[in-house]
Amino acid sequence: MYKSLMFVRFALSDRIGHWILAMAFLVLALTGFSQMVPLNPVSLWIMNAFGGVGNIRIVHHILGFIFFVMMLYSIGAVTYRAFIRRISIKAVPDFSDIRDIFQSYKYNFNLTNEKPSAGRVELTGKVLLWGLIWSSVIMVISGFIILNPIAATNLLPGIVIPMAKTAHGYEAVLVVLALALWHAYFLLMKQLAFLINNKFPEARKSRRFDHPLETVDWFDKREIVPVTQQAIETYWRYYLPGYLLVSGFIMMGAIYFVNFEKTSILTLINPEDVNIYAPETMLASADLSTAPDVIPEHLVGPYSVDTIHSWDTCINTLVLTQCTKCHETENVIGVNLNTYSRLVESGLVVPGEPDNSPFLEIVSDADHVGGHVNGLYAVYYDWIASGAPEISYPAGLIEKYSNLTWKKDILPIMTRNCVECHCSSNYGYLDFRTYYSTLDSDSIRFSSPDESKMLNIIEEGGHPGLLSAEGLLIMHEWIRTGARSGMTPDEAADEYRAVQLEECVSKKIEPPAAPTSGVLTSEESAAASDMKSIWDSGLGAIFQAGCTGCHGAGAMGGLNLSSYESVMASGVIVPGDPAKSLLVTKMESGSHPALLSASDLDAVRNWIAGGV
Amino acid sequence: MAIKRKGGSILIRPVKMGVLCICVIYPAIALALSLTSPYLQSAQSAWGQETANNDKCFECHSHDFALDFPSGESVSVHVDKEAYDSSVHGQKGFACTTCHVGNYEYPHPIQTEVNYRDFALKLYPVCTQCHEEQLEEIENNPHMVSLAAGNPRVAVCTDCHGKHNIQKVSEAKSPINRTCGKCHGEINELYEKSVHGAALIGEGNPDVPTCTDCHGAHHITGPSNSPFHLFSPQICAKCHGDTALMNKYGINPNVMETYVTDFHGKTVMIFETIASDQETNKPVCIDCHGVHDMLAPTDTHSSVMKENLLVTCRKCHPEASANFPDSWLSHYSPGEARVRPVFFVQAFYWILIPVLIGGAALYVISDYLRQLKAIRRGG
Repeated sequence: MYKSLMFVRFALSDRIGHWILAMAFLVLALTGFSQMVPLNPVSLWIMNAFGGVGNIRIVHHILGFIFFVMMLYSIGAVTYRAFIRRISIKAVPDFSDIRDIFQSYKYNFNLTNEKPSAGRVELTGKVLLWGLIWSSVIMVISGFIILNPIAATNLLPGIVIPMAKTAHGYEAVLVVLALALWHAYFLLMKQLAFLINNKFPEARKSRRFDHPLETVDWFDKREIVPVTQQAIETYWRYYLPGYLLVSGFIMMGAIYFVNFEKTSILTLINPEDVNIYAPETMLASADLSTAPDVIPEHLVGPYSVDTIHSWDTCINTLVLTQCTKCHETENVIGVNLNTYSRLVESGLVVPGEPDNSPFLEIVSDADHVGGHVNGLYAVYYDWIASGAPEISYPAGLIEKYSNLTWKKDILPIMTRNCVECHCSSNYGYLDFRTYYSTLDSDSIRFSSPDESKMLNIIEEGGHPGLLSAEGLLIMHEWIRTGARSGMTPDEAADEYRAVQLEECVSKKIEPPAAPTSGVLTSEESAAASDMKSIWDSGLGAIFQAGCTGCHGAGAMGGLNLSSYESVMASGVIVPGDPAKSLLVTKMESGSHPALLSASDLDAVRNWIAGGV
Repeated sequence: MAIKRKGGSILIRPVKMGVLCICVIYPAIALALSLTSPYLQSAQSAWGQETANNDKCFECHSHDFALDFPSGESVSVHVDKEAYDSSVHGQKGFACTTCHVGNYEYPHPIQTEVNYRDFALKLYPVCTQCHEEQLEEIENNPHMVSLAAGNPRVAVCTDCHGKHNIQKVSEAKSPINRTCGKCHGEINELYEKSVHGAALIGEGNPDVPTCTDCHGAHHITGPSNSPFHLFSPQICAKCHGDTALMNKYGINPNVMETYVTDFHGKTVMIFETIASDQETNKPVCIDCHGVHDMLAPTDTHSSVMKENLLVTCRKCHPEASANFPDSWLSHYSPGEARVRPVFFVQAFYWILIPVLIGGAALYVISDYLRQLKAIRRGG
């Protein structure tokens, strides 16, 4: 009975298409939801069910593509009905729909008993259909943009990517809510409720109730538009090939577009290419982090203009900050570079020969822990090429200062600055008037300015007479380069004798005997013999106890008082004249660090006085 | 009788006492000793000879004597007494032999180590006798794993904390990065040039992170284990999600929030939650901002400065076009002016969804009631 009243509203193809669409939609909603709000338990459950977010995305993209295919099918179906079957498209909205909307609300709120008289696709379905079309367009376009962001930004501004992403998410929310509310209520819940209650007549009545125009169409006209032979011919000859061709192109395009872009690399590259284990590079520690690439002004020293950098003014600072971190405190590989002499003695620096200096090779070696000198390489190179000077001197004076001699360079300085005091036996028994007496003074040490007392005393300051900076520089270089005399040995000996002779003449005393005589007068011999016996009988013990601690074998200040002979040769006593004897005057002045007792000093004084 | 009794008691008492001692007191003492001796022994080994006189040690070790190893190394055994006395251990009056167990007399036991490093590696476990918690913390750190694998060049306690001049970490004179930099020099070099390192070294700013803030002190984690990379945004967020701290420096406090709402951050969060042992190819903070050399985004050398952003994007998106970097909202929320178009899309839906769904809901409810009413009336 009921069967005769049943009629087919949707063709089989429509129903299959509908359920494919429904399934795709459901899975798209689930997979989309789990991506949109991923950290809630439902989303995590869905993700785990699909095997992770990667799978979720693949499934989402595939179903999105199926959805797109269904859109193509729907377009085909609609165009077929419109242009081949010539069935009027009743889902097209018109002004009557607006009227129907108000009419519906009024009816529902009991403001009227007259229902809106919608056609086959009644008002609710029409809203749903057009909502779906709108959403499909939005979702497909925004989905394509999200899926192919690089291709999209080749044509569009970058901001469309987040816009598309936002639209895709919100549109999905809208569609899901709309379908959940609208579709489920009208097309599922409402009719299902009547079926469950076994009230099919009501359902039928409901159908008439809901689709009055369609029901009238169906029962009254049966076939709205008959399928003519011409329509069938047109379908096979034109429509189907055309549709397949167009949709085929679109499908191929779609397949291409979802696959053509490789948006990103699959594995992240290492964000930082660095040696994890790199012990103490020169720039790693506190002091070294400020090691200069360009020499700061304060390191250049007093001769900052046209100056060759020297150890004292520049290089030592660089070396001390770069090298001695290892090559001093830890003394790595036995190389200690904390002084100039050690650097040069190590053989790493060959003055004047940068190409033969291993130092340059080492500091520029990236494998060397303290390598990477950057702009400093040139500084080191220039320094070594210019002779690796220990101190700075003005450029242009290099030649002059590279061949310094006593006669040419030092004697004038001494004469001008030193010999006013340091002559004869005055002032510390220093005589700087001649080359030999200067060497005898023990004030200089060949090739080692740092260990030369003369320079140390002046550099410390406080000495009554000081050299000019250039004078000091010349002295320094003269000693460093070997304190050469610039004379033959005979010339040097003559210089010495001449000065001694001059002194004797001025003091009206006999000049010292020629070294070769070696014969004493009888008086001298007797006095000497007398002094020797007194020395031997006990006086020597005074010297032994009071003086030889310093002036013994160590000969501090060049003075050796350990034996009678050495005392007599030292010149600190003038036999017969205690007042002129430096030993006595020094003790009497109280300025000597260690003093003899009064009785011992008297004994020495008497010993000298009786020595005539 | 009395004498006998007395004498008997005198004779019997020692016997009783003997029996008592043998049967009760001695076993009790033995039991007590056996129970307590392990503790006594461990206390002894832990604290060494408390009564040892450090002055005796310094009679020799204040001089610059050297310990020669078969390797040819000659290592000074001089110890600066003042430095030790002011150290955290010296202040507590620990004896030298607390750590140098066994060196109670001279000559000391002969060293059998071939080189100085072996000597240090032999000695460092003594630290863990007192610092048991740290022993647990270092157990699986990369240094210890590497040491166990036979690499002697990894850091042990004394390499970081020093030996005789150990200070509290809070009072350490040199920044922590300099300590790590002793071995990780290149990384430290990058760090000191970074926005964090420059603030720490240049300004002494304590708010910026140093090595241990990200990698931990004893339980060290690093890039060798992939979860570190995956979870590294959480490390950054410790500071960059702290609104008060970020406001202090005028830095956007929403960087983490905006990161996780974006595609990259969202994916990373998903991996953190359900697949923490897997790699993802989505970038975390350090992939864009740099690892140790990260700079302020206003710095012209910053990898995330607008002009440099395309280069940074191309690290992962080699074919990115010039427009592509604009797809990243630069940690701005959609409401902010720079990303206004996104806000418009958002606002459109904020209006559309309530209107449509609200209207539909109203229709559904009213329709339901109307239908109900119609059914009650019999159709």
